[in-house]
Amino acid sequence: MMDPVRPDFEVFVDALGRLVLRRPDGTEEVGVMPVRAFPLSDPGGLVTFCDADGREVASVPRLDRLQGDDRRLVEAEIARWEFLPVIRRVRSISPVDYPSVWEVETDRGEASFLVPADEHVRLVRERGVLVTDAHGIRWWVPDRRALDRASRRWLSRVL
Amino acid sequence: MTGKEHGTRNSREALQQALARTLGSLPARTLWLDLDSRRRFRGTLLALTAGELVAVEADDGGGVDIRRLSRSDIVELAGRDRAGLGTLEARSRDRLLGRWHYTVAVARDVGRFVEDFRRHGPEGEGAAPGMPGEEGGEPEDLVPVEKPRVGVLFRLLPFARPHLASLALGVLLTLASTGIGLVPPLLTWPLVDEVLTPYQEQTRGIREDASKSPEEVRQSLETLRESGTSTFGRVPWLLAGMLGAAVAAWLLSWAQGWVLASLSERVSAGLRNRTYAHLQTLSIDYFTARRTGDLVSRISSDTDRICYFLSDTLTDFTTDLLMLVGSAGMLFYMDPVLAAATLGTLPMVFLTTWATRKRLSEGFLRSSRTWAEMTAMLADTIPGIKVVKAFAQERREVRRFEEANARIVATNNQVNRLWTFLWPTVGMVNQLGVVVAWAFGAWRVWDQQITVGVLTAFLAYIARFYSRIEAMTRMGGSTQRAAASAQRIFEVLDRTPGVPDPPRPVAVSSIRGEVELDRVGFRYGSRRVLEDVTLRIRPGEMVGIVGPTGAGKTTLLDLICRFRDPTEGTIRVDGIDLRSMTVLDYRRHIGIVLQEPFLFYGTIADNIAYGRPEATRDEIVAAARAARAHDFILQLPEGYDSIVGERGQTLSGGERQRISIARAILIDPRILVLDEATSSVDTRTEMEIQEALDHLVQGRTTIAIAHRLSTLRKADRLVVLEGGRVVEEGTHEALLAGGGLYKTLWEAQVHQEEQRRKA
Repeated sequence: MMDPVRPDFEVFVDALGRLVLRRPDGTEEVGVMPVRAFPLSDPGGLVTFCDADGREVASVPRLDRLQGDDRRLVEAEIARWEFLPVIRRVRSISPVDYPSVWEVETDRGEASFLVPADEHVRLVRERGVLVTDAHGIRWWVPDRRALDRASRRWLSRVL
Repeated sequence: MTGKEHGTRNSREALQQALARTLGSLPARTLWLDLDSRRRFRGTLLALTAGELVAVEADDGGGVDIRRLSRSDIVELAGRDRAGLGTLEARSRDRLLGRWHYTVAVARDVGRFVEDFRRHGPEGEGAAPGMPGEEGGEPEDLVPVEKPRVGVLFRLLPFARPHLASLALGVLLTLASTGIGLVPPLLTWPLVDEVLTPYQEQTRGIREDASKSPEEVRQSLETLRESGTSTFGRVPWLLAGMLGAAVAAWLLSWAQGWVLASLSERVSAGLRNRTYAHLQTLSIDYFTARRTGDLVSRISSDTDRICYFLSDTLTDFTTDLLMLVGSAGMLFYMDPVLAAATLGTLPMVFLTTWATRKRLSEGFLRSSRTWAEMTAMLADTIPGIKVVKAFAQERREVRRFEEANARIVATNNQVNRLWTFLWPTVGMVNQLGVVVAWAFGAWRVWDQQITVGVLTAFLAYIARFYSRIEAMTRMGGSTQRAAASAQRIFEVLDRTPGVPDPPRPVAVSSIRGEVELDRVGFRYGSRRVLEDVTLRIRPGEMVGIVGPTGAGKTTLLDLICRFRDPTEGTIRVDGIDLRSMTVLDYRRHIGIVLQEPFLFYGTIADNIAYGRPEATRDEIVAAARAARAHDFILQLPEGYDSIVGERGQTLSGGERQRISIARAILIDPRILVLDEATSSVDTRTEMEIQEALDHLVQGRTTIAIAHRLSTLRKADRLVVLEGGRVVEEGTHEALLAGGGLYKTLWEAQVHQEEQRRKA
C-alpha cells in the first residue's frame, strides 16, 4: 500500500487530453482512468487508477489525500467518467408494471427511458433511489422525500 | 417516444436543418448523439462529408454551434464507454480536437459511424434496433396437498397467544356487532303490531261500517288520519332505531374487521418467522431432498393463505355462527313452535353438506395435485430454457404445458360440478325452509297464537339465518385449503434440526487447525458412503482428496464442515470432538469455496463481507485484492457498491469464484475446504483462480477436492478414496511410484490433456 498521508505520484493531463500518472522514479502510466471503489456508500473513499486494460496501477485510500490541483484534476476526471443524471421530477411511469417507460426531468434536461424489471430500481440508504435502465444507464434520485408530491406518488407506486 | 433514445425530437430536427443550411444539403452519413458537449439531453449531430467531420449542437442562446474538423487532421476517432456514458474523442497527432458525449443507447450507432470514418466511405445507414424488455417472472410453485385435516388449524392457536389483548378485543367487537345486527328485525315487530296493523284495522272498521254514509266514512277516515299522527308518532323512533343499529353495526364491524385483520397479519408473520428460523436449522439433506419452489411456497403462499383464512374466513365464520345462534335464539323467543317447525329443514342442509364433503375434499386434493404438476413443469423448463431452445423443443414444451393445463381444467370441472351443485341445493333447501315458515306462520296466525308483527320479524330472522347457512357452506373450500397449508407448515416445524447442538457445548475461541478423523463411517439410508476412514491432518497442511466419482469425496468434506454428523466414528479438531461444540462456533473457523460459487443478492462489498459483516471497507478491498478480484470489481459501474447475485449484475464463473474466495479470505479461517473450486471454469480462468487460491491456502489447514489432479500438485499429501475407503495415501511422487489407483487416474488425465492439445 502507499504512503497513507500523501500519494507518491503526480497526475496531469497531456496535450491529447489523457490523464497521465507519473511515479517518483519517472515511469508514467498514460491514459489512466480514476475510479471510485465505493461510489455510492463512500464516494470520498478509495480511488483507484486503472489502465486501458482495467488493471489497477495506483490508488489513493481517500480522495482528500490528494492536494490542491491534483485533487481538482482527479475529481474532474472522475466526474468526466461518471454519468449519473439526477432526476428532479418524475412526470410519469407507465405502465406501473414492468417493463415500464419513465418520463423524467433531470439536471440534464428532459428524458425518458425504459426500465425492464423491478430489480433495476434500487433503494440506496433509505432515501436514495438508483434506477438502471435497459441500456445500463443509471439515473439517480438522491432524496426521494425532497421530490414534489406527484413525483413521490409515482415512485411510491413502483417501490 | 420510447425509452431507447434520449433528447427531444425537436432539437434533433432543428440541428439537422441547421446542418443542411450550413452544408447546402444533409450528408448521407450522420450520427445523432443524445447528449451535448455538457452532457445534457439536448444532443449533438455529427456528420461526415467528403473532407470534414462536422459537429452541430444547440448553444445556450437559442442558436446552433457548428464545428468543422478536417478529416485529414484526425488520426484517431474512438469511443469509449463506462457505466452508461460514452465519450467520443477525435485526436490529431498532437492534440485533442474534439470530445463528444452520448449514452450507451446510441453506442451501436457510434460504433458504425467510427467504422465508416475509418473506411472513409461516407455511405451506410444505421439505426439502433429497439431493445426488447426482459421479462421477469417466477413460477408460483404449488405442490400436492397431503390429506388435509381441518383439526390442524387448531395448532395455530399458540401463535395467537402473544396477541391475546387484541384477540379479546376482536371477539368483543364481533359479539357487539353481531348483537347489534340482530336489532333491526326486532324493531319491525312493534312497527307492525302496534302501529301498522291497529291503524289498518281501524280504517277497515270505518270503511265496513254499514251504518255510516259515504260522506261520514270519508270524514271519519279524515279524523283518523289526523289523530293517526299520535299512533305514528313512534315510527320515527323505530326508524331511527333501525338506522342507528345499522350505523352502529357498520362502525363495529369496521373496527372488528380492522382488529382481526391486523391480528391475523401478525399471527401469520409470526408463523413465517418461526418457519424460516426453523428452516435455517435443518440439515442440508432436508434441502437437497426438496424442491426450492416447494419450500418457498410453504413460507410465502401457505402462510398467506392462512392469513387470508384467519382474517376473512374465520372472522366471517365466527360472525355467521354468532348470528346463527342469535337468530335462532330470537326465533325461539318469539315462537318456539314455529321456530322448531321451520328449523326442521336444517338437518337436510347438514346432510347435503356432509354427503358431499368427502368427495369435495378429494376433489380439491386432486385439483391441487394437477396444479402442482403444471408448476413443477414450469419450475423445470424455465431454468432449463437454454436446453429447450438449444434442442429446439419449444413447441413440445408448449404442448406439454397445454396438456397439463387441460388436466387442470378436467379435474376442476369435476370439482366444480359437485361444488356448483352443493350450494344451490343448500339454497333450495333454505327456500324450502322459508315456505315452511310461511305455511306454519300463517297457521299460527290463524290459530291466534302469534300476531302478524311476530311473523314479519320472524321471517326477517329466518332469511338472515339461511343466508348465513349458505355463506358457511361456501367457506368449506377455503377452510380445507387453509388446513392443507397449515399441515405443510407444521411439517417443517415438526422436523428436528439435522445437526443438533450439544446441551453443554465446549467453548472454542480459537483453533490451531488440526483435523483428525477416527474410523469415520457414513451411511445414507441403507447405502454406505464412507467406511472406516482414518486421517490425521496437521495444522497448516494441505491435503488433496482424489478418487473416482461416487467415492465419497464430497461426503467427507460435508462431515468435516459438519453439514452432517458421521454415523460411525468421530471427527476431532484440536482433539475436541466436533459434536461437543456448537455448529456456529465451529463454522466460524472454516472457510469454504464451492464448485458453484453462490452470491447473494446485494452489493459486492456485502457479499465479500458475508461471513464478517462488521469488516471495514479497507479489509474488504484487501481481501478482494488478495483474491485477484479488485480489478474486475472496479470495472463495474458502481465498483464495490454494484449489485450482484440472482438477477443482479452478471458476472462470469471465474469472477464469481474470486468473490467467493475473497469471502473466505476475509474471515481468515484456520481450516479451508475447497470443493472442486476450479472445475467449472476454463483453463485460463482456472489459472487466475489458482493464483487467488495459492494466496488463500498459505498457513491454513486445507482440504481440497479437485477433478483436475494437476491443481493438487501443491498439496503436501494426497488421499485416494475408492468406494468410501482410503485406498492410498502419500505425496504425488510417491503415489505415482506406487503404481496404484492414483497412477491410473493420473495417466488417464495426462492422456486426455494431450488428446485435447492435439485436437
